[in-house]
Amino acid sequence: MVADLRKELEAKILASPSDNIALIGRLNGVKSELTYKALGRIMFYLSSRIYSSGRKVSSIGILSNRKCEAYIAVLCAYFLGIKFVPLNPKFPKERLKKIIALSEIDLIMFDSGEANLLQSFEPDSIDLSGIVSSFLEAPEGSCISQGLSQDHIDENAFAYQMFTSGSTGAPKGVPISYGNLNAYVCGISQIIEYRQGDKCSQFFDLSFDLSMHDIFVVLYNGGTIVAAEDIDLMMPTKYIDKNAIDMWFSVPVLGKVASATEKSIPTKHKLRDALFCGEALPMAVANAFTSLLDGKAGVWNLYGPTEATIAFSARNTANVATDLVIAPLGVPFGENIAAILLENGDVVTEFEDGHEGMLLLGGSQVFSGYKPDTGKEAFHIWKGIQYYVSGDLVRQNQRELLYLGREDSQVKIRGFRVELGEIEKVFRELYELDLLAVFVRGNVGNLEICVAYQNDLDIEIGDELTARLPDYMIPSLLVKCDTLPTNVNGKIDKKALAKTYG
Amino acid sequence: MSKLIEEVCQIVTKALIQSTNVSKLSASIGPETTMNDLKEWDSLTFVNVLVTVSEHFMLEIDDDDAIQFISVAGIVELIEDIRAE
Repeated sequence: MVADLRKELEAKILASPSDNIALIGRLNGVKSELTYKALGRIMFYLSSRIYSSGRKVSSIGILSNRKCEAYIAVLCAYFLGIKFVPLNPKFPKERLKKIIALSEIDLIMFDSGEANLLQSFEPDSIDLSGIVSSFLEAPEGSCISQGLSQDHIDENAFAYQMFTSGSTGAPKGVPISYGNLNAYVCGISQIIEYRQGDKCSQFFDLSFDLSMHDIFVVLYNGGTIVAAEDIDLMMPTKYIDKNAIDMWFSVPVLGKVASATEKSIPTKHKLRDALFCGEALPMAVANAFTSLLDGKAGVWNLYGPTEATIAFSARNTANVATDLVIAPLGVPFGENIAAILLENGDVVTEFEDGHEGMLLLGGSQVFSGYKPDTGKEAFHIWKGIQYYVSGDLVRQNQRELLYLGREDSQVKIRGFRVELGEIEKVFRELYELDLLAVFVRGNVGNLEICVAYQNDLDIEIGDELTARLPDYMIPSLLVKCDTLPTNVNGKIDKKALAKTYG
Repeated sequence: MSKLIEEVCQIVTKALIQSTNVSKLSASIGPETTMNDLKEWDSLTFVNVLVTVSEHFMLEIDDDDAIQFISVAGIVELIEDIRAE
């Protein structure tokens, strides 16, 4: 960890050579390049607008996604020491309203493309695109760049808050502190080599915690963030070539798309390293992806929940045992400490082969608790160390961790964390169902959500459902059953359903 | 249905069957079909649809137009536009 990542990062941005490019992406709807120098100046200009007319701000919502405006807003809030909360424009309005209320947002910064959506929300707002326009029209030199991070901010203060799916039906708020982010950026930068001027992919939506890696790790190391457009997610090899991408970071399924796409549209430019995170990485995907690299040794599997700030452990997949289907989670990096909670209640911190149990995560990347409090204990204290209980089952093998699966009903769909209980609650409420089961079919990395129900209704996916759930939580299959199967305990047998409809 | 729409539906069907190795698609492709409507037409098969259709109709597709390949109607509109130029 460095003494103060916030001050160090801002100093790097302001001192960067004048032609170094920080951002490539849409700015005011036009494909643009923004240098580090210009980024510093524009942030300072934006900050003066945030505080205009004596406004007091404690929590900023950012309604923008994969555009220069979004990155400028994130960095400006971060340097000013104001907590920011990404508001994904693709999410249903009702979900966004809940997030705005739960995180006590008092100012929304939006890009002009989201002006219509903004009308649905109450807090005061700032039009980022309008500010960018007036900045660009101002005479060169009239906007000075001066540091925003002069005041001291406590390392325990919240830098940002992400929302994940919650089993109670409401999104669950995960606040990440300045200290958490500091530990992550420094820890990951020690094991993955980023070079000044590297062109780095930016595929993740802002509301996905992995986008914070794309912003903070890349800029800390002097790289260029290249915002992917929607079409780039479907033609990733063209995106690599067009932008001469050096560093790739995505969920495994996009890696699979890239390998498949390469057969039709081969890449001339090769990547140096590829990082995968967000869900279990099948070794078949990792191995196929090496054809997009300039060497064979650059595919990494990163593991970590949002509660431990982005990723927690890493593993280069180059020399993984051939019998493994899923890439190992590797070993914790930086200041991270892992432990395993055994079935008998013991905790092992000294790893020995064969130990199996729940993975516990400790160290300076681990968050301090959900906000608002969910009422459920998220931590396990052992010998004075507070560990986050990950819910991930692991086995210790040859000094590293192997992933075995989840303990609860949480699944990963396209990298998004989904609590099946949240979908169940929405179905119960919308259709007044008593007997239903939400289950998944398919294989790791390619799971589909299914809902089976016992009722006379003929349910179809329609507006009422899409108004409540984001698209990745919409079931792929609805099954109307005369009688739902039950197991010996009389509970609905989800395994039998998955077998029948899988 | 116009001859062009019919031809596009046939080519999209052929591209999806080829890239998913199935004998029959889960739903038939019609003038209104979009990528959301059947599981075989997804981000993994998108490029194959684009390449197969472009080769069949001998089209050069600009990057900005590739997004049209998410629906039959989009593809038809693009072909008509290119032919009109």
